[in-house]
Amino acid sequence: MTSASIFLQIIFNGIMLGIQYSLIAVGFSLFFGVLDVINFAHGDIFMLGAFVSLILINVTGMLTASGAVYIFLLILVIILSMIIVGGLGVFFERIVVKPVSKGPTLMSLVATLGLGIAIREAVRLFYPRGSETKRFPELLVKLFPGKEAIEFKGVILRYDNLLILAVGVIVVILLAIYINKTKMGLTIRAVAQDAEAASMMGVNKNLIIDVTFFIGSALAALAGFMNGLYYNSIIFDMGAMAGIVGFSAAVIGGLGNIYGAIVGGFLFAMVESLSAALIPKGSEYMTVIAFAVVILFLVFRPSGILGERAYERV
Amino acid sequence: MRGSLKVVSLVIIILLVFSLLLVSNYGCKPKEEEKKVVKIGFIGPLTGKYSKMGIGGLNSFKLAVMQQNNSGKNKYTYEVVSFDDECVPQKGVEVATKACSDPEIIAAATHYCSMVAISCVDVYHKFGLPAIVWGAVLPDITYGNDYIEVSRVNGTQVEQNEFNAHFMVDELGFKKFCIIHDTTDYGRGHLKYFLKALEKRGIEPLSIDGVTIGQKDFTTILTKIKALNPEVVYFGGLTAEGSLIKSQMDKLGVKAQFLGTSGIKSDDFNTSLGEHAEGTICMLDGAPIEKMPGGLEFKKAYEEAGFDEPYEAYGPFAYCAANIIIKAIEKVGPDRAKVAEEINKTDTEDIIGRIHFNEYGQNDVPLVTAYVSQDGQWVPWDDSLYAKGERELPGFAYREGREWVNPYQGP
Amino acid sequence: MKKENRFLDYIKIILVEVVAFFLFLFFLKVESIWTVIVAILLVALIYFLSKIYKEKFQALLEPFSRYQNFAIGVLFILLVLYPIISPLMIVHSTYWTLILIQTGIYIMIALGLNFQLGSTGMMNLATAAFYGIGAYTAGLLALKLGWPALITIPLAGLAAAFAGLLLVIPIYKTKGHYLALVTLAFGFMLVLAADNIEVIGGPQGLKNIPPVNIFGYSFLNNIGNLHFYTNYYYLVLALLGITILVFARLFNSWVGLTSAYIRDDELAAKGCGINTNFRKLIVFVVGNFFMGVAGALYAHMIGFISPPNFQFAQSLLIVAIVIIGGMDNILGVIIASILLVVFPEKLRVITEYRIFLYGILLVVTLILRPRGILPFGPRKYDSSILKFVRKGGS
Repeated sequence: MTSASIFLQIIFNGIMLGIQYSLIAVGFSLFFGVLDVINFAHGDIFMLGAFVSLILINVTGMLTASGAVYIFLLILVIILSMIIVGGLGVFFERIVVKPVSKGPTLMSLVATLGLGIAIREAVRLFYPRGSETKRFPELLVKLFPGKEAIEFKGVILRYDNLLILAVGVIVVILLAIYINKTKMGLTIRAVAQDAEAASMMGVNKNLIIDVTFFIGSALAALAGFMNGLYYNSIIFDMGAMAGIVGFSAAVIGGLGNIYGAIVGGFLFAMVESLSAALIPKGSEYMTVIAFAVVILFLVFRPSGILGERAYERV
Repeated sequence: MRGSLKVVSLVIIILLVFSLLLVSNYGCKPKEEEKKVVKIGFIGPLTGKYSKMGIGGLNSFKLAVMQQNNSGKNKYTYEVVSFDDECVPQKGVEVATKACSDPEIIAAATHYCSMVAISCVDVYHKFGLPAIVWGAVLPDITYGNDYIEVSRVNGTQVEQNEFNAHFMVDELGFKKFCIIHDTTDYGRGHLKYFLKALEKRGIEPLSIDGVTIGQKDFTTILTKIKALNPEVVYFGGLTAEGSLIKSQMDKLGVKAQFLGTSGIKSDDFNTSLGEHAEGTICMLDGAPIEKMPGGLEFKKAYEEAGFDEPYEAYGPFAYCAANIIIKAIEKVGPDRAKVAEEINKTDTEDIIGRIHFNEYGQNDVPLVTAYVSQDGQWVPWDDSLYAKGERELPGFAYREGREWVNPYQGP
Repeated sequence: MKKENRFLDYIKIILVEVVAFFLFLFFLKVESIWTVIVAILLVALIYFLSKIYKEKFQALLEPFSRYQNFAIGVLFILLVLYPIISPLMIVHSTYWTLILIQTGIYIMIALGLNFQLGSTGMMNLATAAFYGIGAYTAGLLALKLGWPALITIPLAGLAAAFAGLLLVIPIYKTKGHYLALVTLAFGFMLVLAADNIEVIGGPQGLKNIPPVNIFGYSFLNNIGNLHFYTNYYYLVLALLGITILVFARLFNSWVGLTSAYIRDDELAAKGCGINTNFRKLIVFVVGNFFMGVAGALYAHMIGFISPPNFQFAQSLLIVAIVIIGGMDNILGVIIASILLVVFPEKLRVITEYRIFLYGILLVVTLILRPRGILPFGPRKYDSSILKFVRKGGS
């Protein structure tokens, strides 16, 4: 294998990871933007996405289907899990996040921390044999009967991974378009910038907050599903670290800035991938190096890469 | 509003008084019974990622105690007090202290996680509580000190890795190894002793890589390993990382035999990988339960007792530890110091084979069994279709440059 | 007339404290699920009663604020007597002594964070890492160089303080949640470094750290019938007392006042000529000092430290303590520490569900009392100003 192919593998890895991190980071930015909260339970929403998908996969019995039915069920599972988890996100927002958002941001941090712990443990306790790693089936292999992967310059690129990559990129682009070009997106940005002013313009602030949490949670759910597909295994505490990384990525990009969150997510992933590959014993340190880069960034660009959209009132 | 508040607090007061009464009865000592009750402790990971191993051990321990109590042959009735170390050293020390500070607990079977065990041995020594390790394999736990209180029924990484290398190199003829290990003392321990065993046979590994606990993505290391073309990928670590490594290995197309240690001998490994577990080799101390005289009865008794969880890899060891403790207490009475001395003299036979404690309290009967994952179960090598030649190990096929067809047929 | 009232007040204080003390002992003693239920019922009862009998309740609590020093004195005596009384009542008394010492150590760390976060508004998510620096410093100095505890403990504090200086640039340049992220990353880096540097033990950590030994008296000696952990209990009690004293004085001084100013409105504080950056740096360093001392105590007492002791999860626990306790409120922090450290130990009885209930407890506490159990109110300077005025000013 040439160093070019190793390099390609790293890039591929980085992008796959980056998509997941970005989808989670976007949620953090959205929540901070509209409600001034840091939602540390968001990583566990990601985990819920994976588990809910698994439950749906088993319930619909899609594994025994094939052909067009299979594709239909697959899309159904994805959409259903996004809706369910999106709904759960709104539910948690109503009962936990909104009540604590009235206090300082740090309050919401601790409260959502507790919520995350509760969600994590609930899965461990109430999902049958919850503390075990669960197998997440390779769903996409069925779509490519016969050939599993192509070889490109010595790198094995599996079709299913490429599909995940494609879907992920499309979702990210769609999200950007949504935020920028649609009316709802505009409304969200308005509430994010100044909730009071927006409600004076006739915007139903609470509805927008619900919508935002729904979208953020649905995106995290999708990331959870993709994570399950990619690693073929899920476990109840997979959201803990993911949440921390997502938060970091959102902050790098500038909290409240959707584009920044996306950029931050990919940046974090690429730094991790590169350090694991290029630095000897790098895989042990990769998260640390990524965090070090984060610190450096914050020192030189304190309000994040793309800037935090906030005005400091004097 | 005032009125209803008054009613509510009245109700609460009544409930409180009632509870206080109940509570005050709870703290009391039990009435005198025909036989004196002796408490023995069990410490293991009852919550967290390795809770299955801990609960399997606890159930087996309880089974042994139950059987002893029902046999009617003993002077005392035994009661199990269990503690959860969560597989975290700090919690382990706290819980060990709790067990030790209860004067009614005479001895205990302790720990599955090596990192917890190694930090607790000092506690047992400080308090003089006899502790038999039932699942941790780090050699230093017994060899690193001369505490009379600490002994162990299961084997250590030294014997395990020596056998591992012997099996893979001498018997199966593999020569090119890439090693992955986790960065805890447990993983590094496996690394150290496997390297030693390989060195004895004049083999140097092609690469050595460390991974952290909780790491999910191993594609970069595996990409590097793939370029080196090894025959075997050895992993010194536990199930959580091991299953992910095997899964990603297959996805990346690394054509090598996957080899693990007792750390991956768990049902979890097979269930989480499904068909991708097929053909993996791992090791476990002791003889296979099915082969031992009391073994089948143990299996039957365990099933009949109706436990929800399986006994897992180290359940039988916990079972034996219970028997050793009870035997010692029966002989010298419920006195910690005397029991510690008595335990150290252990030379007996039980469902895991012969148990003999050397001067370090370590069971030095060097039995290690190789297992292969076959149709979703860990089967002892000698009983497997692979040993009979009806199935081919992936390592053999890859060694000769051929593709390997997965013979997995479902559990 | 005045003297009688005073006596009455003293009696009230003593009664309330002694009753609470024995209830607490009882709570520790009983090992079953009923304890938890009883405790929750008791708290609910007190809450309801305080609403119904507002005046009587206030009358009961009033002496506490008037004769604060006396109340603290009685409490102190009770605490000193605890190790002597508890073995008589509790079977696992050694264990609970250990837990109480652990709580004391956490209170010390939490007070350090309280100074940074509650008083000055600086979010430090690496508290466990600084605690770890203290622990490792003391451990290494004692283990490898054989230095006595009297030297290692202060040095550990200084080490943690200086480690805080490493973050000087981020402190100067970043604000709010960005500082949080920097400390978060820093904490992770420290733990991973400790995990990988073999010289300081690596993932195995440091074993057999010598116990505290003051002028030949080793803390491994039992005091008469009392277990040797009692030595550490008194040491921690003494040091904790000093810590509380220091922070209480800081709170009441101009340092505390200006720090609160920075917390509430940094821009305005700058406008008043306060060198906010430098002040924040000093606060950060001072807070870390106490975290380091706590770490040294832990290292000597348990004799074993390893990287998993000092991870992010522990930092979060400390942050939770400060926020639930009510920021900038020393008493609140103490109560929250007891709630969050002792309670989960009791909940071991329901082992499986412990962590789950812990999470729910956090959420519920914050929803019902979003500004903490004892939120800080505006400072009352009336009485002190009056004293000042009476003295004639200077």
